[in-house]
Amino acid sequence: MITNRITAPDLQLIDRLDINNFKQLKLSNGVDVYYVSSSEDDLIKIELRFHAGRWYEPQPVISRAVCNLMRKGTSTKTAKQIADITELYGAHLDIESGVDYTSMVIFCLVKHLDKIIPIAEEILVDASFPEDEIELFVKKQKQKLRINAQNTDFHANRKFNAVLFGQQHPYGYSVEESTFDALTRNSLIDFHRKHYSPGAATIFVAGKVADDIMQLVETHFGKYPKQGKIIAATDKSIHTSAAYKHFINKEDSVQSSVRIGTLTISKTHPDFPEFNILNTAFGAYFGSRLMTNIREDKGYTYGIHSSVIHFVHGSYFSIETEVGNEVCAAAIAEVYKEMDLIKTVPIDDEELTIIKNYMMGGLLRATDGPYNRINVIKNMVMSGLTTAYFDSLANAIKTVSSARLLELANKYFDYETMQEIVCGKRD
Amino acid sequence: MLLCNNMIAFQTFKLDNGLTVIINEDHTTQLCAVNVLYKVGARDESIEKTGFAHLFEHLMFGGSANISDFDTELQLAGGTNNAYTSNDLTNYYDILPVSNIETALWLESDRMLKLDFSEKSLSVQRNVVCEEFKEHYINRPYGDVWHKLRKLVYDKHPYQWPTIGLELKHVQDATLTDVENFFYKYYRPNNAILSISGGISTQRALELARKWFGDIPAGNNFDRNLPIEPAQTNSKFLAVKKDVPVNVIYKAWKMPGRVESKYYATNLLSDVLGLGESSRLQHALKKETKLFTDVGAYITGSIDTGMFIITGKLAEDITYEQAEKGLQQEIDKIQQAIISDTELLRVKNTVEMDIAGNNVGVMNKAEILAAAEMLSDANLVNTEIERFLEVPSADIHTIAQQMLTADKCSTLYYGKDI
Repeated sequence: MITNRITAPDLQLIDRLDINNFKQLKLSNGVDVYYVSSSEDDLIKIELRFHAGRWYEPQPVISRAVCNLMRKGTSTKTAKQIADITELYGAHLDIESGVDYTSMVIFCLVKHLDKIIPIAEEILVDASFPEDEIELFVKKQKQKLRINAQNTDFHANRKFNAVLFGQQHPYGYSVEESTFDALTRNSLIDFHRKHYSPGAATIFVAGKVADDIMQLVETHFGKYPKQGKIIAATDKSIHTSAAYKHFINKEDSVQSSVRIGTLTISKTHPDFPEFNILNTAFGAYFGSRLMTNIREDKGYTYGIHSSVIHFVHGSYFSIETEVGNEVCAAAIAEVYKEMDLIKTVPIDDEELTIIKNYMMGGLLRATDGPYNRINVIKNMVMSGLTTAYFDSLANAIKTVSSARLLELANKYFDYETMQEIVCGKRD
Repeated sequence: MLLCNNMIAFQTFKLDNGLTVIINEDHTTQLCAVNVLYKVGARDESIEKTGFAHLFEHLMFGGSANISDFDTELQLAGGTNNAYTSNDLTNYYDILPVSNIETALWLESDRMLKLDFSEKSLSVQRNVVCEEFKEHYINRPYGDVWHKLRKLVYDKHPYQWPTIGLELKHVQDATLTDVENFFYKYYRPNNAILSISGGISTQRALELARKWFGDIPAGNNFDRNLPIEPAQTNSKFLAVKKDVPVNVIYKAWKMPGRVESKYYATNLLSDVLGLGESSRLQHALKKETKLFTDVGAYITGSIDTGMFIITGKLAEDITYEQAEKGLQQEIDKIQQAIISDTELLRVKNTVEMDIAGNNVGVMNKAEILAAAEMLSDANLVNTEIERFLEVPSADIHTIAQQMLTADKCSTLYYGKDI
């Protein structure tokens, strides 16, 4: 039989998502643990989330500095001794910084967890921030900053954050070399002691979760008193720039970095689940309007994307691309043209079906397997949401109409008031 | 077996047209991965037309015999995809609900059957790739380091250029005829590996593989006849003056290819020297003497003669001479005395963790099975850990002594102070 290649194979729609497939318990101190168990491999991943991001800083970059330096010594161990133990077992023990939250992530073979978890605990309660390590950190960060300063995207990103939130805002400030000079050992220790007790964590576990694993978590993180809500120290009002167009000249560049965007609704806003679909249609997948026109038709760029970023105290919509200097103006004009188009002509059924099917597939991928699913659970829990939120996203995808998307485009895509940043060389 | 639970169960088949099919059943997920690896990479290009394998990867999305738009069809099926090109291979993968697996097989088989794209599609993708070239290799500091290093290290072998190509012009000059010739030589079933991982029975997956790929004609067999890279007998040196804020150094030695027995010990040697904060270079040169702000060692792991690389960013006010001296002291040490049992255990445990971490999820599994099959045998994904664990410290020592010598080394200085 000759295979029929002309017509596409029949499709089945996705109707089942495994988002509810997780468990929850409390340690004896009341700390919440969420976990997704699988017997497929011999790995275990434990993430402790802390309210210790930029939002909580008493001074700039202290959050990042603490994340970087926490593993560099305790009152009984040097940085080398800590690295020797974790690396001896091939384990990952990483501290990840962020704007609102930070994380300690332990990822290792189950059989080695009992050797790694005591070190994790020690770092959380007894990090010592040795002076020589601080000095090395500062030197390295300055060097990194000098290298970054040669990138157009670095300048565009930081200008974008600054104009959206304001230079004084935790989400908006720019780091200079001198910012690091203000760090002192005492300020690092203070910040660490205030924010990193295991009793302040919310814990997320994925992998081969057995009773003995939870026993280890209890033993090492369950004995510290649970801490209440942490309030950020100072006033943090947002000051968005009034000027909408910003150009940063970089004479030796061959490409320009472009950022266009604005503050937008939070993920708990009733419009968000559908706005999220509009964003996908516009620029958040390969078949989006922006990619189809500006990359696949015009060949102006290797990639152009739009996204909605949610922080706890502010959300923004952004369009990002790197384009050749000579086609930069043309590319920006096409972005606005696409925005006008999506505001005036309803998305047709064919395109809407593609977006819906693609996005349902996306939800399936996002919740597939223990390590992906725990990330979704984590973002949900940290935003104070439940699985009902996830259902609302899925429901919006199934039911949204093109009339509604047109309405939202007119409500939220007002490029006259969007910030536009270009860093590159004027053609 | 040490890693029973992390082993991947699979079966391998060969269709009449030469296509290798690997199937891993994974019923824990609703997703499946369909991975198609073509045994062609930048090493198969001629020096006048570099960057072509990678450009071609872009063109594979520009329409095939019966399908005008690959991405649209896959997105309709709730799927996503991507592809990459290395010096050795080109790999395409699709992830979608297993209930729609036929869509991926339809798409992948149709573009293996026959490409059908326009002059416009070629011209747009030439531009896209040129912008990719600019974004990653020109418009950022140190972007051309690998262009310089590969050229310095390799005298004969096509590894002397990176997959993006030697220059923009090569990409701009590509013609439809080039594309056609390339396709019918390399993109044939007998030069490809299809691997599937997901919640589908092996029998059904094989049936579908036969249905969609079975009637694609085989191509002519060909010999690669790649130039053999000669052993190096004299040190090489290149200094590149650039307006970058930090001086960097690269030292590279030619090393055994990915399928040679010495590969495993050489890989471990690089980990002992430069992987992780407790490694020798990082501890001695970053922490103790503070000559570098970053330093490490790694290998390229390519099929033919690879590169063993030591690289670092010099601390401010440190000269290349001081930096070199520091590196040499560590090389001397590892040549003089055998490594400790703890170091050996550390690097082996690290490999064990890496392999376990890699064997998770349908996409990873489909990808590594195909890559291992290209090397020699898909079962390497399960057996390679043994090859690593059986390496004695004496072998690592011998390699350090024989390989890490000054006369076999290529050194690149790259920075403002040249």
